[in-house]
Amino acid sequence: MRSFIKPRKKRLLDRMSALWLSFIILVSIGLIVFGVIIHYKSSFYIKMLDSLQHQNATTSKEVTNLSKKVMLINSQKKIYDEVEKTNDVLKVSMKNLFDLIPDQITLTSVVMERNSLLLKGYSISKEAYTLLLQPPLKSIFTKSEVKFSKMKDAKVEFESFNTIQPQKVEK
Amino acid sequence: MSEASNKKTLRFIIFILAFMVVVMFFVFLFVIPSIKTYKSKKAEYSFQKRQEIILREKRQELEKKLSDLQNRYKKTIKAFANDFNEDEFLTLAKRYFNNVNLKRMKKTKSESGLDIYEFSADFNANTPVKFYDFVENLKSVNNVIKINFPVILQASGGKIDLKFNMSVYHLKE
Amino acid sequence: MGLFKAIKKRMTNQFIAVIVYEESCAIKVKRVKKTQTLLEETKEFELHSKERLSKDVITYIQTLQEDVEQTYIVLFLNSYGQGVVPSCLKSDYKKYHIDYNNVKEICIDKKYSIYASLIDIKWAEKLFIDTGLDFIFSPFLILDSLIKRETSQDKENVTLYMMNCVNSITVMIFKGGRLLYGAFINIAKEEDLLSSDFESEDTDGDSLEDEMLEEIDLDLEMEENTEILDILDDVQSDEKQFQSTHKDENEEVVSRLFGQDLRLVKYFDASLREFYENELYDSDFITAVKIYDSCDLSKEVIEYLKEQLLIDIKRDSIDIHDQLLKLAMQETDINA
Repeated sequence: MRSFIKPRKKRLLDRMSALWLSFIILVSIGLIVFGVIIHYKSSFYIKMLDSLQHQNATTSKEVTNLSKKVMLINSQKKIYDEVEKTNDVLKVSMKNLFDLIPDQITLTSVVMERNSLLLKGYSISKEAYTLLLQPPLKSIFTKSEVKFSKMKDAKVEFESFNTIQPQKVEK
Repeated sequence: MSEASNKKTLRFIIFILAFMVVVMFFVFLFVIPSIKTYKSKKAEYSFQKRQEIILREKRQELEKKLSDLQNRYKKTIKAFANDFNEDEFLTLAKRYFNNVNLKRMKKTKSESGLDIYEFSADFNANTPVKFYDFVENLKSVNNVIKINFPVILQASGGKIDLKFNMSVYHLKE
Repeated sequence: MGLFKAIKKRMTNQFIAVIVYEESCAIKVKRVKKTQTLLEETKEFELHSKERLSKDVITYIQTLQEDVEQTYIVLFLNSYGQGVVPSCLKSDYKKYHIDYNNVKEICIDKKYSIYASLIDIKWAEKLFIDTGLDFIFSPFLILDSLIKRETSQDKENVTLYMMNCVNSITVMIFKGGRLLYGAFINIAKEEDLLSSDFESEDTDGDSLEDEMLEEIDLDLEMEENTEILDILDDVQSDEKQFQSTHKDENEEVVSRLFGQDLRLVKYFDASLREFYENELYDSDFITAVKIYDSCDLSKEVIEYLKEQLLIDIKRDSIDIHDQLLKLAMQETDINA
């Protein structure tokens, strides 16, 4: 150094520029920090969301399973009741039918359907059928048709086809 | 030195512009998308959280209902679960009928997943009352046995031939 | 920090060279950006005090500094208490009767050193307290840098270099590259003493001595600076010698010299005598003379010197401000 004194330290930027620059940098950093914090918080939620969604999927599956099982039991119960009912209906119908048959009439074949009844048999006379069997049949069944045919030994063979229209139950 | 002050003013304006550009850049590129993401994720999370509670309650409700039903209809469930013992059935039938013939037909599956075993029965009874008794005592067999229509009774030599189809409902536990 | 330096070189740099005279100061400013000169101007201002700069000077410099962040203010040191020593050793300073502790010393090329009184340096800093000060350059440094630009440097040639400024002369005698002797003499003086000086020359050497004593700043705490006192003694004795030996010729020449020129001549003679007669200096016959003239030496002076030294004198015109600016730019490595 060939001068008797050392030169003063020089600033690179004048005061205003330096202030502005540091202000801009500060604000930028502030915004970046803010963005990072928000991003961090978001990723926190994303992570929680992932596990939550998995959990919910599992629970949802379980709920579906459970409701299926409940439905199954309910349907089982329904079938059971239905089975019991139809068996009972059959049983009672059968009993009622045979209670219905008077001594004068002999049955040879019975085809019991849900809504129809085919009776084959014979009686002494037509009147025996029409007086003794037909009225109750008619009272039970909606439609009752009968066919008569003569048999060898003065017996009358009848073929009675009865149908019942199931009532539509309005709910 | 108005030239100097002009220069100063210009620099000041440039700085303000630079500042605005920088701020806009960061806000639009950084802050706003971040906030958007945050809001949506937070909303999603709240939704899922609510779902969690709803589902949990539902599950609890169903669990309770299920165990309730399982308790209430224990007998019914058991009836479905029991394997159908043909011999046991025929033994019962023999009590009321003379000839007992049971033919296995097909096995189907119902909508709800129950197995349905179809049989055709061919019995011979002395009186039709036997049939009534038989059906009555069908309940003692711990199976779900449904007698299908049509039931055909045929007189044969003083006795009655019974023909009908029956379905056995089965569901393993 | 290399990055900062590189950036600073690219930015605008400003150099303000100041030379302070008795009642005025001359300022030259040069503003550069990379290699382009943006501003270059010279201004003179009045000074009302030797301790503080006048308001317009301060305003001028401050305005310049406000515009450019990197401004270097350079001062030409023309105070009395400075000189050269033909070595860089502290011990030699004692030999030459200079108090090492009271001066600031700068070793040049490890061959010789220039020094200046700490008091003068403090005075300079105080003078520029309102504006700040970056460089203080010695006149010897300027002369040295001018000499270095000379192409020929004879090993055996003894050359006398003189730098002439408004208020001072700087003398350096080199043998090849080795400094033999150097002196800085302030030749400013009050005008009304001129005539009396002129007159008293013939008869009374004492008054001349007295006036010279008055001139010398008695603030000097360099009590060992007997150099000047020696010169005074010599002047006194030699005056008479001069008059007796070269009376005829000199009378003619001397009678044409006035005021400052006369003083210049007188002090130059004294300085030369000091060189030859003081045992401390290796004296040798001067074979060449070069004058770096910054304020148009009159023909008469040159004539006189020619006759005194019996050698041909080479003369170059220089501008002290430019030299100061050049040095400052070298020191800051700008526009190298």
